[in-house]
Amino acid sequence: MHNLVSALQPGDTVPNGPLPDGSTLFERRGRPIILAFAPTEWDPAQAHQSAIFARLSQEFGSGVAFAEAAPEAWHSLDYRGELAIHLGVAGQRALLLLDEEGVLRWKTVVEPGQDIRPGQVLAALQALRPEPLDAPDLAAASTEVLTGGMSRRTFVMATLAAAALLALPSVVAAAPETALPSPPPTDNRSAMLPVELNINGKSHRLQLDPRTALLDALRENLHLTGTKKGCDHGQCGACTVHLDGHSALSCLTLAVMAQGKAITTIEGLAKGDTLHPVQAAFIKHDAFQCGYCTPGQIMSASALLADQHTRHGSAVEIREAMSGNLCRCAAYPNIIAAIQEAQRA
Amino acid sequence: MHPFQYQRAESGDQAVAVVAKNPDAAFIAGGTSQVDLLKEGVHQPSLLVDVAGLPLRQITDFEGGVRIGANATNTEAAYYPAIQARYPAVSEALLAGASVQIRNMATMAGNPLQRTRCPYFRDLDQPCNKRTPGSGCAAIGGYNHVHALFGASAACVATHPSDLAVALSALDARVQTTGPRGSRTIAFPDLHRLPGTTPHLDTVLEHGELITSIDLPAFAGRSHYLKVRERASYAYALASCAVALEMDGAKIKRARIALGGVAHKPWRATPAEALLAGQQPTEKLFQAAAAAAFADAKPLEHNAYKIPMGRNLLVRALLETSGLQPLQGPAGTAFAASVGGMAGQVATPN
Amino acid sequence: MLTEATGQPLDRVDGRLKVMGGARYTAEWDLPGLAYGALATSAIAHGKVRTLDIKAAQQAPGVLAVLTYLNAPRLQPMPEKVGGTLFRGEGGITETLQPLQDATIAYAGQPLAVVVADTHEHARYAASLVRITYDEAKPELDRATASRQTLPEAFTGSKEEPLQVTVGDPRSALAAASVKLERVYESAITHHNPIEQLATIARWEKRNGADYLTVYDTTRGVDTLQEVISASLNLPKDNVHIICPFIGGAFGSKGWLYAPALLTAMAARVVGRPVKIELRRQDMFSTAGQRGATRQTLSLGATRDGKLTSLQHDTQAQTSMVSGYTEPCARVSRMMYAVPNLGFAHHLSHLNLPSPCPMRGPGETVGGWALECAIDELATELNIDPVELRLRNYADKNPETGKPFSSKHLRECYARGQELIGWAARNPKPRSMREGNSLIGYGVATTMYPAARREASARATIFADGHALVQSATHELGNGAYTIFRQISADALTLPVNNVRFELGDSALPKAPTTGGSATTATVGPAATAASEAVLSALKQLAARDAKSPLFGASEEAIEARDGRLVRKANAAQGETYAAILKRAKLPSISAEGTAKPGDEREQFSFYSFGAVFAKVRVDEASGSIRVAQLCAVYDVGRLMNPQTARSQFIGGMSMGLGATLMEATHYDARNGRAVVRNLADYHVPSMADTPDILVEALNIPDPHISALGARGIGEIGCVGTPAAITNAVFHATGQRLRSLPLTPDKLLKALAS
Ligand SMILES: Cc1cc2nc3c(=O)[nH]c(=O)nc-3n(C[C@H](O)[C@H](O)[C@H](O)COP(=O)(O)OP(=O)(O)OC[C@H]3O[C@@H](n4cnc5c(N)ncnc54)[C@H](O)[C@@H]3O)c2cc1C
Ligand code: SF4
Ligand code: FES
Ligand code: FES
Repeated sequence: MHNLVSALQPGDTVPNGPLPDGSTLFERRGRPIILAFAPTEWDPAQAHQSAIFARLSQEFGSGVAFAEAAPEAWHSLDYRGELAIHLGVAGQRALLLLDEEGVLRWKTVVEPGQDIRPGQVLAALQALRPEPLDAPDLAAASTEVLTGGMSRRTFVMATLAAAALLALPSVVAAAPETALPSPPPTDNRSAMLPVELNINGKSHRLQLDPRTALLDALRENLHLTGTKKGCDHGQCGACTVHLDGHSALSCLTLAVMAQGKAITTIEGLAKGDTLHPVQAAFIKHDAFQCGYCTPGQIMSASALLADQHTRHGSAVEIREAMSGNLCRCAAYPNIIAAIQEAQRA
Repeated sequence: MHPFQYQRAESGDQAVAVVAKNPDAAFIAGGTSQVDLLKEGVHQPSLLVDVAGLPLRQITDFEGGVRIGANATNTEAAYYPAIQARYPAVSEALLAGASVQIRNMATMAGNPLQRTRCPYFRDLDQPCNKRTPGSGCAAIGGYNHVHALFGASAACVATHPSDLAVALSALDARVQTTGPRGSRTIAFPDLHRLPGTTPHLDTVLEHGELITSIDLPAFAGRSHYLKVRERASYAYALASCAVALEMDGAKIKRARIALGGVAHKPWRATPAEALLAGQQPTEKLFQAAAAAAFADAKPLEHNAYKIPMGRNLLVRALLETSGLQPLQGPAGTAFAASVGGMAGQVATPN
Repeated sequence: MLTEATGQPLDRVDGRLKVMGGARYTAEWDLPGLAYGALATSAIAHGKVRTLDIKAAQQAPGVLAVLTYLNAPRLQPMPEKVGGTLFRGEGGITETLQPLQDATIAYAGQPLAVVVADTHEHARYAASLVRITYDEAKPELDRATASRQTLPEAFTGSKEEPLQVTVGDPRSALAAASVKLERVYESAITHHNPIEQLATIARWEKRNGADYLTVYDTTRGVDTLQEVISASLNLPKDNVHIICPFIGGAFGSKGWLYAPALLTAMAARVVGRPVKIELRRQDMFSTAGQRGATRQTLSLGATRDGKLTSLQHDTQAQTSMVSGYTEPCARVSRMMYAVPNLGFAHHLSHLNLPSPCPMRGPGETVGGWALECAIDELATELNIDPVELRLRNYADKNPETGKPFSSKHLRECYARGQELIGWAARNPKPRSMREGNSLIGYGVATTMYPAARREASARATIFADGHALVQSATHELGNGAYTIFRQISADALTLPVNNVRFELGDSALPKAPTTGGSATTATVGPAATAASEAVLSALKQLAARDAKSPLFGASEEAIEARDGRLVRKANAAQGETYAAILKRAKLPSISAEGTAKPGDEREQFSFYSFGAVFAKVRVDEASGSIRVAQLCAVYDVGRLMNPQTARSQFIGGMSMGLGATLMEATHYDARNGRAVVRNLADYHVPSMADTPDILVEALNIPDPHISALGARGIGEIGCVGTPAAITNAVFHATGQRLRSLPLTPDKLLKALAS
């Protein structure tokens, strides 16, 4: 299955090959091009894909939001077709991005049973991003160069490609939330266990090492990285989540033991775009600096406000009840103010 | 973490049977101590039996006292009305311990079974008889700031870190267990051992013996817990003390005192208890009791501070329990227990 | 006219991301094929590796590779200097030990092997299977008897920071003084302990046939790290790309120690996959830097009416065997008071302990503590109010260099601070105030911070839809960089803040220095302004050349930017929007770079921020517990770019100072040099329960000389001063002088017993 061409790495020049409209890759040089191989059609013009595009550009920035799309560069290709075979991705969902010189800038092959994850795509994009400019001058700036060495167009294409990947319905449907396939169990004690976690109202089936802490399952397996690791030993509170509505430390919870519990993470606290009152109050009162302890603080504060024993606490009671969430930036006075604001709300 | 297999216990008996027959097996409940030590590599069980799902979570009134299921969380027990009202020392010890999140997870059986905070115990590159029998004790001659004044041995000078255990010891709680050899009741002061030559054994529980409940016997007196720490909250005790006083008119009928942070187990200050019985409470008497309590203290290089600290603490605990001085915060809360209170203009709610 | 964004309390622009868990920190980049690295570290502090048995680790499930000094890629030596900062030698800033290059062991916890595996769990477990034996030598752990003791010339090689200085004749002046005071102050080792642990992800790929390395790292110096990695791995600088859009706190760490990043790059190279190494909290006590312990001797000579005649400040600092880092403890003493005879010296002992590095207020936090405690002791000795004594020695010019201060309003700080704390209600007699079980005390200290400024560049781009993007390789570590540089850029571009983005944290962006020394605002702010002005100038030229533009033919000087338009200065009605100019020129965008650096004002003035800190404490004598009831501070830091983020910085610094005062200390076993305190349960950083009510005010008087923005830095000044204010308050409460940080209950009980 792996022929020579599949060893193509980003930075390599892609050999020529036929495109469905009769043209060839070489003829297409001068414009960036996306080669998307899939069982179903990918279409960046689709509404749900453009919504994700908008989100991506917001998160990723870099002026992407101001760029217009160029659908001509988009080639939806049969994943069993000639070019797929030629490029060594036959039968696989794959996405290749070639820049105007025909150099491969990004390649993603989605292995069977694997899922494309937003973080992965973002990381790939980030890596594609600016390359050092040797001689930044106005002439260059005023033509194509936007974010560095990569041309604006190539970069826009990359973003589009990312958007499409994320929105790929077949991927989502085919392989729900499962992570990488488990390696062959060489030691039966560390054999993978099927684990089902209910997170933010959604059920996730995973194959996990029994040693996996809920925190690592969230961050490493599910890429819900809002929950933070600050010590891994119950000593900082950064990993606070809600288990059945009560605050708990995900670093000291084995993922297998969290089965059957309703797990809420920071990602599940807001209602869509509407922030939880504690989240809004944190912004208003500047209740964080680096932001790393913040999800944990917010999870603790929101649980505290939902708990009859602590809900109406005065400042001194908040001080005591929130002491399990360390903030090295010491935004504490502002956190107290934010909680008091949410108390009043 | 070393690899292990994981099993959910189906019943108490099944859990006992499984663990008892595998010397490498261990229970896990709230996990807050167990997972920490798994990650440190201090515990390396090959099988973890999860007892958290067993129906041992009820808290009920029982023979004039309260029966607390092994799996009740520290939070549930602390706020249980009968406990908060009649055994405030228990609620105070619980609420002055760890953090909200940890208390929400930690169980009533797991808490007294947590292991020492001796820093050498958690560093696999240091000798420690408790972790690796026969390897030596790094704390003796090392940085023994949090170590024992009483009952230590040449093998181990560790202290027990649980706050709850100190309160339970003063109240003579009873531990109900079921084990490979059937069920039994253990008086709380007998649950933990002194290190002697076997510091790797913290308690008298047999391998595979499961705690099913902790019972607070009927008690008509006043109880109270005080704790000193280096941080205003979310810190283990440097020294602590629980007092249970029963009065007979203006005189003390019976006083029970357990000291925390000073020994391998909650340290019952029997000389002080004896001195108080039948006496009229006065500050002078309490000072004498405190002096008696610490008369046999054997400090190490870095922990002599615990002697004046412990004495002063005990005097204050007796004054506050007997009503000669007001509590520093509402009874049954963290504020009553927290010596020094919180930072800020208002140190404690009123 | 738009109101200026600068100076407004704008909410953090990254706030929404942060409260929703969407801000991406280093360990969170999800690269395809990511593998996990875990460290095996040295159990001993001094000696050599005798044997390294990695067989069991190699055979453990999921393991891809085990790197040791025997098989790891070779590294070039750490450069002598990077960006003008001395790296190697006495006074140098960094650890020079390159990881996994030989068998020598300089400190316990030193990385000796990296295990790479397919999962986090596999890697950690396999790392525990690496068996190492040692040829152990006796570690040197005592400052006083250390065999390698030196007198470093200058801090980080800077000519502005000599470490051995004598002005006048402090010794004779002391001998002649009518009042003499000589005191020794000691401070413990402390650790930065940002809540985000150090992490690196490294990925190698071929680009155009050449090796290309992308590194995601928790660094506050993307450009410095790029240089270190390219030099160490012998790669062209352009083939190393460092990315870090968010840092979960640094406080001096994450800047100057490179072993974790280098190890990750080496591991990724070996396994041919991206690798992530996230340090464990335990490892942060050996590989992430620390503030070394100090022993400082303060000798003050004064007249009976409180005029200082002599000040000598000698420091015994300590460092590792593989670093020359010297805690510059005299930074406050050298400039604070008008004293004719002034001297300071720094002795450095090399120990078998992990390497130190700057920590918030390097030198100032513990050095200023010693000085300000000594001044308080002098006030007691002379029976003069401590504020009054400070005023009697008020310096109008720098006593070491003779240069005037660029801007100094410290008198106002003292006066306002006294009002805030209620100084008048203080009974000056020690041990005279009580509330319930507690003794009450009030204390004061002066604080300062050098107002550094460095060179930086930025790029500004205006898009055809009227939005703009400004970029610079600076960092967001909670300092509010995304927010304030957006504000500054928006003003320079005369655009609403919402139409401007600011990007940072990427070595491909225009150069900016490592974020530290409270210099970022003063450094990058002017660069953002310069870039904005440059792009506006380009746009002006474009418009002036365009016959269809209302600005056609105008000279650049005759055009100004106003509210997102270019207009003729003479007639503001004649003009057009930036968007219109670009659209007509069929340009999607226009961009330009700008660079800004300090000029010769640095030769003329001495640049410092100032402040006065007041503390009220409660001391429970019975237990030795100290709680801070209130902290009040008034700062003179120039103009505030954003009063809301500034206040947070002040508060955060003060709390960190509180931690250093009351609870923070890392102990190493005196026999074997292993960290005994190495987690966040034993190393206490202040919790919310330790945080007092804090009142902070800033005078907000622009510094006329530092830059057009008038802003000096604010990141560290809060940390300085607070320790002495609290310590002096504890004296006032108890009558006991504690001269060893931290003021833990054991020390107070001991003092009270004596
Ligand atoms: C950062 C931090 C700070 C803390 N601070 C404090 C403090 O200030 N004061 C304090 O008192 N505690 C403190 N703790 C400790 C905490 O209270 C304990 O970890 C917790 O109570 C243990 O309960 P668990 O249910 O989580 O036990 P687990 O971790 O599940 O188990 C602990 C032990 O008990 C055994 N076990 C559990 N259930 C049973 C049973 N039914 N029968 C027999 N054996 C059983 C397990 O095998 C294990 O050996 C702190 C912990 C952390 C991490
Ligand atoms: S005191 Fe006990 S726990 Fe600590 S090192 Fe010695 S044997 Fe181990
Ligand atoms: S990561 Fe869980 S408490 Fe620190
Ligand atoms: S905001 Fe940085 S640790 Fe809390």
